[in-house]
Amino acid sequence: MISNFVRSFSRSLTTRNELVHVQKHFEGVEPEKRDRESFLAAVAQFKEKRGRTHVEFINTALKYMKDYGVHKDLETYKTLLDIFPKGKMIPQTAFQKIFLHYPMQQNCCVKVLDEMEWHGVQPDKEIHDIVVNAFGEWNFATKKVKRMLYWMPKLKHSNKYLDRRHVEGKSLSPSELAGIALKMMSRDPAAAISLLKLPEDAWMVTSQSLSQQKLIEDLKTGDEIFVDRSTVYVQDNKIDYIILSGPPKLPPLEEFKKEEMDENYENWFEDWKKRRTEARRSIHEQDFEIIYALGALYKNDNTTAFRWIENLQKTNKNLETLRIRLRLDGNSKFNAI
Amino acid sequence: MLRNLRLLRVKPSTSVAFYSKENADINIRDEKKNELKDFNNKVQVMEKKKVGIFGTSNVPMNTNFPNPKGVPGYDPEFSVKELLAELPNTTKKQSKLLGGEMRDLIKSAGVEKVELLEDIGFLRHNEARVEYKFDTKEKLDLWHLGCDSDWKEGFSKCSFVNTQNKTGLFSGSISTQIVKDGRVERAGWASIKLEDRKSFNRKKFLTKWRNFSHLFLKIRGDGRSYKIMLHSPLSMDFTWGDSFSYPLHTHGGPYWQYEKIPFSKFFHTVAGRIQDRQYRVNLEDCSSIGIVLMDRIDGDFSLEIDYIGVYNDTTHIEDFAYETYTLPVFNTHGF
Repeated sequence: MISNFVRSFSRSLTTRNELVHVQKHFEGVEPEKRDRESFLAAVAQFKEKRGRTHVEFINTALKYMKDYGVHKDLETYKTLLDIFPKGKMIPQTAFQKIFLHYPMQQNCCVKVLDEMEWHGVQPDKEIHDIVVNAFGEWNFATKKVKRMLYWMPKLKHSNKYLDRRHVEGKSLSPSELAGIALKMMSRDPAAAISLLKLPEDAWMVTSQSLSQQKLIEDLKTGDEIFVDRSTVYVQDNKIDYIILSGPPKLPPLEEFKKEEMDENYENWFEDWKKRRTEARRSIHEQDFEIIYALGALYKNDNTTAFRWIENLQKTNKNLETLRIRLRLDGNSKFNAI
Repeated sequence: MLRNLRLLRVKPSTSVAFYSKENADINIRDEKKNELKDFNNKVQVMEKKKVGIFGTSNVPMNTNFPNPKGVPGYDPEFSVKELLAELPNTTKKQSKLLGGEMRDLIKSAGVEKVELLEDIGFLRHNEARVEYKFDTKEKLDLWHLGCDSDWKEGFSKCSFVNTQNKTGLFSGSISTQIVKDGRVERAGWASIKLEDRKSFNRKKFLTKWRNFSHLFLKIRGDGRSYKIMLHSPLSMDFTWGDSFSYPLHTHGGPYWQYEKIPFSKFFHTVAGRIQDRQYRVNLEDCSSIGIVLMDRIDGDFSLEIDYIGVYNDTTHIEDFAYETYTLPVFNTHGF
């Protein structure tokens, strides 16, 4: 008995139950017309027929979700799960409760929920209720949605560097995304992020704080600084940014001090002086480089970077006297201005 | 008691937890064997599945974990010939490890026992201890590296190398493209995992971290979210997939990131799936750390690690961050 139940469970995981005519329907739509509406139309058409092949239909539809661009849309998942008939599959006896009641349907539901989880779609109470109405309060599929409802909001905002509410579900322009990326990367709370809009949709974003300006002022005439290119992710957006940095002046920071139980006050003056200089080291003086500014450009090449530097010179007069090396263009690594 | 029954698994998508380099070698060896079989005209289309009382699910549940690696088809046995060929190397390596252990034992023969002192409260606020550095190749070799393409289950790439700044650079690219073999349903992960063992393959536990409140890492990421896993497999098969996890978010950019993650925030997972019954991480059972990337984002990644250690914050009094809820008695979970 047990083995039968579990075996049917495992088989449904390994084999795909799909319907050819449904597949044809999804395939039949032209790639340009594949969107949310046409997906929901297919679901509505199935519902109208009151077919009994729920599992097969959902399995097929699930395969095409990414094609139709609805894999991150909660409403579509709701419509998909709404296909399951209400009430009929709720276990009534203890025996039904203990074992997997309607295994194919439940596993199919779990599969849909798992797909949702994989794409990071946050569940809500409504989707929970949809599953409860189909499968009962504490069934396997319901437990899956309960688990999701419990854990996903818990870990949703665990990232303290990026507020996902600023990014998710918004159509952000490249400059806005760059601004978010710079805000995430600039660890100095005093860093000011500024956007410069140029004609023809061109833009430049700069992040620089007063202490970084001070560091540039302290540089001597002829000192070498570099502009390099790197990439960062803001959720699934890949963003190119540039760093204005130079060689370090101080040795790498001694992060750990060996603390003795009995304190030694013999060299108290030296210790005090050392502590003072250490405290004065700004966050921009990293172990192997000093970071003078961060930026992002509409186009990542040396000419655009040169425009960025020119713009930066308005606030950092000392930049004119420095030797700036732009290293954005792939092959030519050291292009002196 | 079937503690880790996970009927809601679709596919063991994070076989990360069980990755080992030896395994890759064994795969190759298996292939050779298969070729031999073909040559002998004993073609096996599919091996006959063993039918157990709980069916033939290949999901690593407590009742049917195939092996300590949790990987179907893993066979740790090899011929006596190979064993003898490998013997000199093994002897050399093991005696070196044993020698090191003996030296440490003599060195620590004094009256002062650090862990004992820490137990009775000599651990101070703001105290940190760096355990794993990445400055030399030997230290990097303690970490095993893997991604889905190593298992022929995807197209991700990864590497772990020393940099000139005496750090380790874990980089590569993630691809969520699925291999069309009808078996793999999810793809796109890369991982490093600590395989630091004592001589004669004895496990090294993270017991000496027990009095510290935070896991402490100095890293430089790329804005992606990684995951820390504290693996705690024990002798019983239903614990082989156990680990305690927490996401490791990075801010990216040129600034170093000092990440402190409280041990109280780690949640219990089995093969990457969060469990219903939660409890605090027990560092006395943990024998390995892993850093995993599986964020469903296609593209290059890079994570520079300077060190991994522990940190003590006496103001952090939280024991466990999650409430432990219970399910009704007469429900499927009880079975």
